[in-house]
Amino acid sequence: MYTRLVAGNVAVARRLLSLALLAVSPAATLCAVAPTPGLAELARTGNTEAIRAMGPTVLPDLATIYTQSDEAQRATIANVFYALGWKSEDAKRVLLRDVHTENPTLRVQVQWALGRVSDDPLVVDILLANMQDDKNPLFRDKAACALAEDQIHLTPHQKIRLYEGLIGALDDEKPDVRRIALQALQILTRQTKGYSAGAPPEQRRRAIEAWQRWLDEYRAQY
Amino acid sequence: MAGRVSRAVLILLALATAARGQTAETLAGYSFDEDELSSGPDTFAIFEHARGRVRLSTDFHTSGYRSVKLTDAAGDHDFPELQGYFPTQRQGRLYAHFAFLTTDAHQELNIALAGPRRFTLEKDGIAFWLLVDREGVLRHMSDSIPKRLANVQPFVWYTVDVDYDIDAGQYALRIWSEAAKEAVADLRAQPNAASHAGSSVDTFSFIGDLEDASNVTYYVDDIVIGTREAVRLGPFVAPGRRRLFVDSYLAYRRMESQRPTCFTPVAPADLGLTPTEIADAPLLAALQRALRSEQAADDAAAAVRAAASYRAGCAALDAGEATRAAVGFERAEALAPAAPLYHLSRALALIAGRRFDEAAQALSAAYPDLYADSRYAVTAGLLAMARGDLAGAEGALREAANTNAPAAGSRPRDAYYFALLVGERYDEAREYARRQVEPLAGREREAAQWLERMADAAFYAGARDEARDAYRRAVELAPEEASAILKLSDLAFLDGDLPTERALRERYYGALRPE
Repeated sequence: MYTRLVAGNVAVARRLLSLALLAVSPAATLCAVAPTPGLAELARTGNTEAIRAMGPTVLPDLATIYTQSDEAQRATIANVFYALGWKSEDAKRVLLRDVHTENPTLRVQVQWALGRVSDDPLVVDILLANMQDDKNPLFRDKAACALAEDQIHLTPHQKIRLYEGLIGALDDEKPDVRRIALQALQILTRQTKGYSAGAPPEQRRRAIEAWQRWLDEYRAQY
Repeated sequence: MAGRVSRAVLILLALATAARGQTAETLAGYSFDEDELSSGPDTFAIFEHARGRVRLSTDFHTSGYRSVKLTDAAGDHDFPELQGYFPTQRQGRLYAHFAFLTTDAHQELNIALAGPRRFTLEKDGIAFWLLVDREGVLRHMSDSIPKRLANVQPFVWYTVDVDYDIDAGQYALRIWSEAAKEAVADLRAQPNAASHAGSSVDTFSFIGDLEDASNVTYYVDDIVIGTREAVRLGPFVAPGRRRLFVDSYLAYRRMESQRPTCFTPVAPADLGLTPTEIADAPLLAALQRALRSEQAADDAAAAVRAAASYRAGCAALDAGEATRAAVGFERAEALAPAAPLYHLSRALALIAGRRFDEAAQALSAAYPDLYADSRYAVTAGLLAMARGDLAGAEGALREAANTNAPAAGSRPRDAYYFALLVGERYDEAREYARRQVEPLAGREREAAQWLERMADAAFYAGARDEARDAYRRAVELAPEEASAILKLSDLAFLDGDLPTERALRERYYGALRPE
């Protein structure tokens, strides 16, 4: 939004990570390539500022380190990707491996981080699917958060896909999905178009039609 | 068309609306030609926390002679901003008008009207949001949609009028391009930025971009915000203009005469040279080079390095960079403390930077060596004028203006004349100008200039016949100068002689005729 703070710092301030102690997961498969010395420790301890000072060229190495780390460490590194906010195909690739993990801390961090490393429509599609179809309501909720606040590389044109998915979710049979979809739309547009997730179907239908007309107008601009 | 004056002169004559002054219905109004542009909680604030800049500029303008220039820099983690304030309007209608010109249509810029919640899309946040995106498309954010308006052309002025119905949360939007005959946008009943009825406004804002990727340079002029549509347009005082040519030219030339610029050194004593240094031919040669090039070797003599710093300071002063100029002159003073010209030059830079107390101190440092010098008088006069002390300016300039000391050139006479005119001493100003004409036989351009000044003073004194005669004599001596002819157009209009007014005006502005 229109703010004098650097967007990344504001988002980080809102998203203070609290890492719960987790059961240690089996170590990740080792890769053959050796990353920058010292970078692994910085990454696994979440020293974002030191990594930021190295510049975006470290991203491939960070992705490698991610794959060589356990789940707790990967959650930390995902948060580093989040805080850096740099686009990276490598980061996207490795994060997507954990986008369906059952580990709650890791899953949440990955879902938040994906939109901050990529503008790939696939990311939006996967998060939309998680928001609507994941068995765990916590994961559905956090996917909606990610869609609302963390798709920082999407152009206005690319947001059409995002809006299509959110407006489509307004008609979901699950009330919590309808609620979080509206919440995401409201964060993005500051509007509800009169929609309420708990309203009777006919009332919801009229509001969804209003959103559809809005989306048609949005599409027409690009 | 025959007789067309250069575009540069026409730009100088771009007219300010006469009614820019505050009325009860005007909430904010800036042509940026005002003498006093004070920032503050009820006017505006400038934000330049990184590499972006917000500055007054004479590069481009729609009226008067100045506009505001905003320059953003990608990757500097911030954006420059001109943010203005007016009393919160919570109901009724708001009329906003401004013009902008971008130098690169593919660099993003953003313009907004917002309320107490500032720059969010909440109610009482952003009500109106205009932007140029990286594809060069002008858009307005309406109903949370960045709606397309037109492709933007660089170096073209766009004039924007917003009629905002606060209660309904809707606005009408009209945008004209100086490159097109018809409006590029003419919309009614547009939902405000996030479609919030009753969203109040009390702020305007001009910035670069939010994503820190823009290197835009763009200009803004003629901001007017009010509660009646009429505030956007001042009345026409004569055909084609909201200000008489006499007034427009006076504003510009007064600014020019009061702009501090360096004096050229005319004697070794100006640079504080000792007899030994004066006898040192290689030193003098190095000094001349330094004065031309602004450069000096690190191991050069102090006098040479001082001369280079002085020259660099003069270049900065000419470019309007008062702070950088003062630094250059300070360095020169430190290297050659016995050089009165450097004290005087620092005083000029401080006047330009509106640091008047420091300027007075610098002037006093030059006094022992230059008190009888007309350059000292000019500088003292400029300081007095800048402080609004017209009587003091006259006193400082009178003697210097009545001698012909070559050191200061024509500046004492120019400054004295404008001090009299601005102080509304019209009879004295015209008599003074008349006395300058007589000795200028054979120097037609200078004589024409003083005849025109005599005519200006006569005009303001109400002596129109005398003014007309003097303008005509000026035209005879310098027929290529547009100003006297256009001022004759003013007089013809005031006399009710519309055919003559039109003929003179169209000589330079052309005319639209049917095919």
